[in-house]
Amino acid sequence: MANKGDIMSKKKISFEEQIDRIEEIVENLDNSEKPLEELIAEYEEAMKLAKECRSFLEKAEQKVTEISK
Amino acid sequence: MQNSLTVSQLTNQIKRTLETGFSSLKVEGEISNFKQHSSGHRYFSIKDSNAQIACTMWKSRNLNFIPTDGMKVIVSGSVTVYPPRGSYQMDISSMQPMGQGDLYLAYEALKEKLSQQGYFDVSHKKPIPALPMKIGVSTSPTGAAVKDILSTTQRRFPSAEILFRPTLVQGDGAAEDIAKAIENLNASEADILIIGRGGGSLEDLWCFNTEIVANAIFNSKIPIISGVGHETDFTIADFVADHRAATPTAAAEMATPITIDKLFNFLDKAEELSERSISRILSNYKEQLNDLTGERFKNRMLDRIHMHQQSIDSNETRMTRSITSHLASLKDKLNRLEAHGSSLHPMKPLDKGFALLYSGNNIIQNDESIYKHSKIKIVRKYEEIELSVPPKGQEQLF
Repeated sequence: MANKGDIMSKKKISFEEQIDRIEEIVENLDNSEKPLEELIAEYEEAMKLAKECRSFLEKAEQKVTEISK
Repeated sequence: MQNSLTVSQLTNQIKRTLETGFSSLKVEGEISNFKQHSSGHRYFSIKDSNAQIACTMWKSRNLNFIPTDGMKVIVSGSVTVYPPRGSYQMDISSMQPMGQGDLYLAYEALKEKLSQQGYFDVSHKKPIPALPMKIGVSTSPTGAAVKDILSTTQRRFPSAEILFRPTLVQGDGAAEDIAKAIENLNASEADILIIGRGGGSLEDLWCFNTEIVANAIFNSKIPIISGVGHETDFTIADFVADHRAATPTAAAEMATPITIDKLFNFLDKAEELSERSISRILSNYKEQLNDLTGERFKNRMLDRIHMHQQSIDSNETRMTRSITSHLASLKDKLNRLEAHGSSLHPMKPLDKGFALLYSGNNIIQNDESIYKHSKIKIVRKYEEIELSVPPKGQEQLF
């Protein structure tokens, strides 16, 4: 059930937001005073997001939707 | 005179003759004395070197350029007669500038007007989003422009969805359709809009030089990139748009500022940097841990242990002393208890000549009658004897 919830909330984060989050984490990891557990959690989050973004990009096929008058 | 007519009769005959004989005409001429009344209706003349004709163009008729005196135009309309004044004029349904020079004049006039109204001000320009995921496109479904735009966005960022609004970009109704398309796309989820068409003559591109399109672009909530014609073509739409691209292809490039390749690179880099950072963070922590288990820490801990030991040692002496004396008194107490206890031992009275009576292995207590037992045993210090007990009252001892 928790898994299902995760997928649902993941869908709400747009691709752009995922990219932004990865960027933010990379910066955090570079110069953060956060506790170790948090940094490890962020690191894992970044790796997971990067994987998701990669597969999103890999399976992209141009979609053309016609807008009517 | 028998054949005389009233003025009205004559005028009505003229009216009928002219209006049936001169309807749906196209006439070329030069604009003269152009006036736009506050009601929105336009009054002017068209003329050539030898003649002129009064014209009216009602507010309801669409005019796609700003007419100026001297401009050569081609007008469509019909001749009408106005009996109260005995005048005739053309009721104009549409009007287009004719020559390149005149189109240019119209273009300059509109540009000047919009410029004064602030349509081209940088403060109105909206930035292109960092990563547009939905790109609205308004162009002809049949031209090269749509192919160029689709192939460019496909190559650079296929993840973006294209919201395509097929649009008339040339000829009658084109300006209105472009304006409508911008409105339609504003109702969509597009992050950025491209309006465009391939190259053409000034007449071909004319719809992009109209006020109605300029207004639509200016009022768009979504940023617009114009990509009209070629490098050298500048339309009014280009000036009003938030961003001007030289060609439709260039517009598609602008609408995809981050390519899929760049994104893959970014992800690689992000993973690499994260790995590097986390291993640096972990090795820092390890170092700190080593510090804790290392020599420095060990010595510090030993110091503390020694300190505690010392206080334990000094306590120990005191404790040993008190325990020793405690034990001694305990031993004393036990000795005394033992001495007292031995006086209570059942065999002790035998020393003094007393005897004990047993039944089996049990001492017969005082509240117990001897007659309850058939046999008793008398125990003295050095001898014992077992005897039968006679029934009570028949004792014949010995």
